[in-house]
Amino acid sequence: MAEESDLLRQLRDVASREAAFRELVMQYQERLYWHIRHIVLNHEDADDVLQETFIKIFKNIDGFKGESKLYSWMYRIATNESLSFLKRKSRMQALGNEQLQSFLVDNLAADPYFDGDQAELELQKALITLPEKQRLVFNMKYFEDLKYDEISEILETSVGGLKASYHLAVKKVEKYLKGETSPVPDPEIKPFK
Amino acid sequence: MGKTSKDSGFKTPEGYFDHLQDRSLDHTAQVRNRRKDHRHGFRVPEGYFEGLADRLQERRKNKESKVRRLRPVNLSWIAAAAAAVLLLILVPDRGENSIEFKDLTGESIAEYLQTWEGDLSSDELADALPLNDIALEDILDASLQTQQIADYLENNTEADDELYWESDE
Repeated sequence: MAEESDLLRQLRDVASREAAFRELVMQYQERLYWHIRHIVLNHEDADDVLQETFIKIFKNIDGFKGESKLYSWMYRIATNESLSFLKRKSRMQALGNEQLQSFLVDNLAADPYFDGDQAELELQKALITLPEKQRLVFNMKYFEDLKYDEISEILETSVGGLKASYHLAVKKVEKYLKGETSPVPDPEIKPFK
Repeated sequence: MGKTSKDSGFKTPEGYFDHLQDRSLDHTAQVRNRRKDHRHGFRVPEGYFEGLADRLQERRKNKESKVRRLRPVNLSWIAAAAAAVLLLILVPDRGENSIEFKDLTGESIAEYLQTWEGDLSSDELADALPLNDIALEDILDASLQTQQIADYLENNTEADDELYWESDE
C-alpha cells in the first residue's frame, strides 16, 4: 500500500497520474462507499455518488493544498457529494424534508442490497429523522468506527462539539426506538464547507 | 477433567490453558471479521469493488468526451455578452421601460431554450435554480389553455399510437 505522500506526488505527476489514481481508488473505495451508503442508503445511489466523488477528487487533486490529510479531504468531498445528491433528489421530486425521509426509507426497504431485519430498518428510520450533522457523526462513529479526531478533521468541527452531537444523537435514537418521541426533522440539507 | 483449584473448588476443562492464547487470538480475529462483514443489513453486489476502478475509468472517459466542444468558443460572443451585462449595470433604470421576466412570452423563452447551446446538464440547471423562489403550487396552479395543450401534442408526438402504447402492452 502506497504512503499518502507518495501517492499524492504520483497523482500530481501527469506521467504517473492514471496508475496512482487507480491505486487511490483501490485503497479508499470501500471506506468511501460505506460512508456514502450510510448517507444515501440505496446501493445504486451510493454507487453513483461514489463515482462522482472519485471523479471530483481526480479533477481537483491539483487544488489539494495538503492542509489536512488526503483521506479527510476525500471524506469531505464524499460527504458533500452525498448531501448535494439528497438535496438534488428532493428538489427534482419536489419533496419536502419529511417526504424525503419517507422516500429514503421506502427506497431502502425496496433495495435488493439491503437485507437488514426489522430492528436495522427501524434504526435507519430513526437516524434519517436526526438533524443532518448528528446523523453524520452517528454514522461515522457507530458504523464506520472513526475516531473523534478523524471526524473532527473531516467535518471541521471541534471534538467537544462532535461528542455532544453524538451524545444527542444516541439519546434521540433511543427515544425513537422506544417509541417515546419522534425526533425533530432537520430543517435543511446543507453541504459542509 | 482438569485440575481443581486448591481452595475454591472451581475446575477447568482438560488442556484449557494449553492453547488459551491461540484461541483468544482466533476469537479476536473472528469478532473483527464479523464486525467488518456485518454491515447492519447493507450489502453490495457480488464483485462490486473488484470492478469499480474499471467502471470509473470508463465513466471518466465518457465525461471527458461529452464536455469536449465540437466548435471553438467564439470569444466575440463572450465579449458581447460581457458588454451587455456591463451596460445593464451601468445604464440607469428607466422604470416603465425596463423588461422583466414576466414580460417575456412563453414562445420566446421556448425558442431561447431550444437554440441555447449550453453544456449544463439538467442536474446542473436544477442546481442553478433558486429553490426559495419556487413553490410546488407554482407548478400545480399553472393553468394551461386547451389550445396550448393541443399545440404541444401536435408538435411533440410523432404518432397518435404513442399516446396509447402503455395500455396496449
